[in-house]
Amino acid sequence: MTAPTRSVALLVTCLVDALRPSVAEATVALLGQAGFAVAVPRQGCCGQPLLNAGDADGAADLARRMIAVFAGYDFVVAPSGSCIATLREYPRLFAPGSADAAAAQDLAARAFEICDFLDRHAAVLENAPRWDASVAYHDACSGLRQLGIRNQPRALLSQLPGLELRELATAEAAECCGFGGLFCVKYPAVSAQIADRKLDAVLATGADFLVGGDLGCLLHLEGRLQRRGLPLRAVHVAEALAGQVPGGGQGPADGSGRG
Amino acid sequence: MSARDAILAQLSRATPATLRPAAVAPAPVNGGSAVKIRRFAAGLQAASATFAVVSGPAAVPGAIAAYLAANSLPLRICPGEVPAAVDLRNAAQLEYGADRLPDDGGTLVTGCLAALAEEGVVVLASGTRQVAADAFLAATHIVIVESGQLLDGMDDLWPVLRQGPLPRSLHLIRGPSRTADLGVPSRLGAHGPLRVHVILVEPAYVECADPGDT
Amino acid sequence: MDSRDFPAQAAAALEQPTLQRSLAAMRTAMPGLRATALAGLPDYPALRARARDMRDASIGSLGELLRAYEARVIAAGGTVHWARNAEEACRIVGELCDAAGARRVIKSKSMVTEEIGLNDSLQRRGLQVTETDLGEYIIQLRGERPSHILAPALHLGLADVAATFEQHHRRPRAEPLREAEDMLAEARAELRAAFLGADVGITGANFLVAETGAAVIVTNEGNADLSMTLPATHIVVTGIEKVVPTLEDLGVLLRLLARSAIGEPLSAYTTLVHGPRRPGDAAGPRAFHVVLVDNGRSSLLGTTQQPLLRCIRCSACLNHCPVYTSVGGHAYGSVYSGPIGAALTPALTGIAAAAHLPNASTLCGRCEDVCPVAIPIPDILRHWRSQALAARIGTGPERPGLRAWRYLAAHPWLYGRVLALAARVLRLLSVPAGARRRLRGLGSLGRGWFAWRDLPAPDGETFQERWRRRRLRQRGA
Repeated sequence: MTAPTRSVALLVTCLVDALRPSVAEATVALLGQAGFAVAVPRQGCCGQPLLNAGDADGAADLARRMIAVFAGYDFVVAPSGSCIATLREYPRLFAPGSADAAAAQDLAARAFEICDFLDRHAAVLENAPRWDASVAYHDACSGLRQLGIRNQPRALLSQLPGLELRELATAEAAECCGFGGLFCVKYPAVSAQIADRKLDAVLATGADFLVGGDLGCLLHLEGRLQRRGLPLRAVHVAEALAGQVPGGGQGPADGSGRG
Repeated sequence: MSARDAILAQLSRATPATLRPAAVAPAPVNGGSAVKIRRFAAGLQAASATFAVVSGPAAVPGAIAAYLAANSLPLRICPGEVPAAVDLRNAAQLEYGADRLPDDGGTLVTGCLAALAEEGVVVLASGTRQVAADAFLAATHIVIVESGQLLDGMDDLWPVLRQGPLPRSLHLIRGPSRTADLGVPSRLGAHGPLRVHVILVEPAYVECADPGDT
Repeated sequence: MDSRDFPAQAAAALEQPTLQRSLAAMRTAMPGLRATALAGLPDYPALRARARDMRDASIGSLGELLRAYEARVIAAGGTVHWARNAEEACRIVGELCDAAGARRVIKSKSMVTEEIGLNDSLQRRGLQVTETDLGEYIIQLRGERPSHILAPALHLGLADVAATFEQHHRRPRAEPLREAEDMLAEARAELRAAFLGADVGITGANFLVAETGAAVIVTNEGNADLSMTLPATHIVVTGIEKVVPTLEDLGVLLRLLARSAIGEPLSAYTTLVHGPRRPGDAAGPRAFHVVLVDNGRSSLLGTTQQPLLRCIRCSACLNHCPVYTSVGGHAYGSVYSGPIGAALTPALTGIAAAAHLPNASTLCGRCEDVCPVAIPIPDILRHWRSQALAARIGTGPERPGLRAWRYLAAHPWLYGRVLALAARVLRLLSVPAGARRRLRGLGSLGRGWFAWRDLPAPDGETFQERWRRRRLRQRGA
């Protein structure tokens, strides 16, 4: 007898929804391969921009809506560490002991970033695609510091046959990429200088691709790469793991990455 | 209302806190004498101080003379208070200078109140035991540490302090005066001593290996 | 320099080669030194937790601890003064100098005295004030502010120092100053004369110990020891939050301070001082005063910003901050810079003058990570952002934008339509660029983004649209 299929609601995230739907497609594929029933309830935003702008009331309002949207699913998974970190902050937006706080706590306990989630429930990839490429992984800050995501994406990526992981120099590895939400448009010169440090560190590894788990960082870094006329590509880790890097030269699963 | 009363009234608004019981400060590594000496030496050397071990107080004058000669310094010293068993006044190898430091800084020799292995520091106290002001005016400061004075770390120092009247001032010294304000690397001798040399006196009957080898 | 001009000051700082070289050196060296030093502790996480809890407990009973400290100082023959604000603190110190008949004052580096503007105040009284920390001395000669809590002259190179000394030191010189050793020797000689000729020595205090009445002062140069030993009067000027209960509690913070700050177990000199010279002492001041400065600190008590009072001014948050290590301290236009400065300055000056500082952060969280007393700096920055928002102090066009966006995000169907429209329009405006398409600009829109970056082009429809269309088709099939 098989265990009942557990349900996962996808938190699409606004940036993925509007700017790179392929990341959500890849995430759905990975969750499906891992044996979960995936749903995509109609959803707005998790409220991260309001939370970071200091609009706690607005964030609490959106949090209540998200709590309702994601009620009843076993898990909520997103291709973003920072959006999941926001869901994990929800309990602090409500009075301790209130019904809202309890519901927020319940959601926070079910919410996971995709690599973290796979690492917990399906650490061995089904159908790991072949990818003859060298990649450098960018640890986005929310994932790294708030969710403790560092080894999970590396452990998953290392299952891709042909893939070589290259680490950034220590000083740059732990540093922010300079995105920071509204920060990147309010203080663009500073933001670009921080991005350049990160990009130069990636270039120094000689990697073919920059892989990361948060689209905000990736758009910011890739936008900067494009402006600098550099050929390096930034791709989302979900695309890489699902074998769906557009034009990434990935091959089908050949089984050699298994077990 | 005085400023004092006004401020103290404001302070009562603080959110009170209680220490969480699990939070206990971890003690420094206690690995016996050899480990302690190695840590002490490593700490001093990391701070650009130098270090020597001698067997018995009678060996101290020779060790001082050897250090001064190795650094091409005059053999003239200005002694502060040193351990009673160390006789510098009648040491043939050294020239015993005046109580006051010469204008060019000179070489000061003192004992200490204690030394801390974890931090690699010597502890000097004001008052009659050591001359604290000179310790910051000398060009070279040689500190004699008796083996019983070497403690594991800071937490062992506080009970020692509580045993007697508190000195007016207490100086934890980890090496020569230095500054990072003229770029990397740090420059020695910003205001105080350019050189700090520590001599650890082990009891005479103990065979003592080079601390680097233990 | 003013915090209101942060964007222009930051942009200028990015173009200063000397500053950028110093910052690059700090950014690459300090994190490793700190990590190695902390790894040498038996159990850093436990020590950090202990430090945080002890600071909270101390701050929760500041009144009691300060009374105990005061009683110890008085018993040792010293005097304690209380100052509600900067003006009061400066007046007290000035009057103490006058009463001592002082003309020449030497100072050891102290952020509190920067905060209250003590030097200007004393100079207006006709006193000659000499900073003795080498970096602080150099910037005093240049009429500048510190650009780092511990390394005030971080923004200067050797050539700047040489030029400063040649201009200010009146000494015959055969050739121009080039070597750091020569500059150090010159400063040492100038300052040695200042030490020996001073009437009053002023220091800060890194900590106060209620149990013994100790003022604890940490330096690498030894200048604080000279400042407090040679002149006839020693005045300690420090913040009311610096007090800890016992010597063991002091030990907890000392074990963290230099490791976090410079990656070493302790600084070269850590000094505990308990009052004026005693009978039998060979040296030390005849008069000993402590000035306890509030200046806005007590207003943080009982608020969500109270944890700021835990700060031990180690500067680890500066050394690890992507923004500070890009622009340096002067860009902040405040006495305290970096993450702790961005969190503390609005409390000292009001949010109106300092609204840029909490906004000029990526909230990457590294500051909280490396803080030895675990101050939740990102949370406090968010708090100040909310204050700025509520007070309608704009640091950009975000306020109307945020309100509109908040409305949209709360209405998923409408939000989805707007995202879909945006995806379509952006796709239409994009141009080919290698494997992907990109946008190079949107006219006057999105200047903040497009000033320095392109935007990788979207696919043209949203995921949710695609997903729902697919579901409809599946149901239809």
